[in-house]
Amino acid sequence: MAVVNFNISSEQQLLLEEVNALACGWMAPAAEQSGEAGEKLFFDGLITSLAEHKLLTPTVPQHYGGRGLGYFSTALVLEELGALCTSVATVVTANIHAASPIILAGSTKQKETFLPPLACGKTHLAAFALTEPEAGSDITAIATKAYRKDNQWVINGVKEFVINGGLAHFTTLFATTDAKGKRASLVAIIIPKDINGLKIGAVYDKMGIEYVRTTKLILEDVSVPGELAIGPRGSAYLLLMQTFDRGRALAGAVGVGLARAAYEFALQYSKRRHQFGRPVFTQQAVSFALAELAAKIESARLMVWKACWLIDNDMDYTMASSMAKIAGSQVAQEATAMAMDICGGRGYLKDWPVEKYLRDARVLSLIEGTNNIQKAVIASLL
Amino acid sequence: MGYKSIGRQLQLAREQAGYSQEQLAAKIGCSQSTLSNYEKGKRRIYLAQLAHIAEILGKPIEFFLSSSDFNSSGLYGSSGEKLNVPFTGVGTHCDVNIQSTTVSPDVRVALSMDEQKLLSDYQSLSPEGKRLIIDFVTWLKKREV
Ligand SMILES: Cc1cc2nc3c(=O)[nH]c(=O)nc-3n(C[C@H](O)[C@H](O)[C@H](O)COP(=O)(O)OP(=O)(O)OC[C@H]3O[C@@H](n4cnc5c(N)ncnc54)[C@H](O)[C@@H]3O)c2cc1C
Repeated sequence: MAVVNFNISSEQQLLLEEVNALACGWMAPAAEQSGEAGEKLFFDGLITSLAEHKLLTPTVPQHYGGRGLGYFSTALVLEELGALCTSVATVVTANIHAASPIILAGSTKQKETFLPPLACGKTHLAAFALTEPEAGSDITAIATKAYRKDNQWVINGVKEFVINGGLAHFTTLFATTDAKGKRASLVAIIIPKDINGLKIGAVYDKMGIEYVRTTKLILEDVSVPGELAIGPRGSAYLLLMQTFDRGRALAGAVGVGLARAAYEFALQYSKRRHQFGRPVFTQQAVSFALAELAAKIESARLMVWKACWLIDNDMDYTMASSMAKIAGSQVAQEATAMAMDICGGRGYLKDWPVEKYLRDARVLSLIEGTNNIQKAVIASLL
Repeated sequence: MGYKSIGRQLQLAREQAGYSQEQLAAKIGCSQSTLSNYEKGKRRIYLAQLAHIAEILGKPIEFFLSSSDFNSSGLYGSSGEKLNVPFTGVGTHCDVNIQSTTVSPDVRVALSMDEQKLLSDYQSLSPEGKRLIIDFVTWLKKREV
């Protein structure tokens, strides 16, 4: 029986220092800027420097030039990134998500072709395209159709909410070979960038994580070589589930990071801000709220760590990962709302980070399967 | 969730191959209770493990994903919808690291009438009834060796 071990190793400590050093350079200014200036800093500075450190897709195995980080280490990185800039953390999770099916079941050729660019030191984004207008939580409604013609896959359909849409070096896309999505007929196909018939639809204007480019993708007779389907025939459904089961723990880590940032900001402010002749922190209503948050953040972090530890140790991680995702996203929403209350009216101002934290936190209960769906996953295993 | 039907197919394949849960669990290197949970859909089976089992049982991966009620729930949650999903035989034909086998996907078509009747009677039994049949067949097999 393996013993759970959450000791941070010296390499992991160095990794955290590396991420924090990056933060001093690019992250903080980019996260604090807004509009076009912020977006430019985000891509030219932040994303580029993460790419240079091979941290844009940290799970790419060393054999393919990547850092080869396990999920526990990746969660440590994502907590830091989540605390510094949720947008960048979300881009990293999207890259990890897109690479995951290839790492799990890709052919040697697919790995050799698509993984090294994600870890070459230059910016290469990847996208994961599953959601469709009629298929959100329910994949049986997937209508994007793939059929074989000679030695090619021909794909037609519309994908929604694709993070890194139009920017991605490749897109890992799920389609059905049957009239209406059936699990055994799902197929995961790698769609290279700039391929004929792949069009970028609407770029969504979102409430938060505004630098995360999220688009509609339209596929009209997109034709790719047959060898770009991932995994043994009939395996795409399992590959998809496994990708989610892993990614959810990481979404939890982003939530923990964001919660931590909001909590730390509120804590400092409450110690500085005087009312009735003393810091508001000395009011029990405030200090207890912060104490409760500190406990919830720690508990969510441990749940994330446990899920990642199970993944790294090849054990059963499905339920732990869904739980970690719920915990991380909920604590992010709770902490950001509480931080706004503790900061009073100033917390509501756009030039303070708290309102951005709050907007960014909202998305975490929607992506990687809504939190209701996490409950459905957990309930199915009870 | 879809894992219940994967589990049922797994049980079917195991029984067709003549393995008890204990025997198959020993072969794939997990505990009998883990295998039992896979079969009940109480634990998600991951692709590498299923590929390993599929190889031992001589079935392609899609056999496990093609049972008749496979569409009874959606990706992330349950839709409650029940559709008939015939085996479609979709292939990706790519050079994969995870081995899959080339045995006919739906072995039921290769069964005689008697065998089909036996199988459908067996499937209609309660879990206890199924257990008795498996025990009996295991006992019979041992006697015949
Ligand atoms: C910013 C952003 C980025 C995204 N990035 C990506 C991406 O890169 N790739 C991608 O493929 N998708 C992406 N998505 C899509 C996201 O995964 C979906 O929005 C999500 O799965 C929910 O689907 P839906 O929006 O269609 O909601 P619906 O499925 O329509 O759900 C609506 C409501 O019903 C509830 N519900 C539905 N079914 C059930 C059930 N069975 N039990 C209980 N409650 C249920 C849901 O919880 C929700 O509250 C992104 C979304 C956003 C907002």
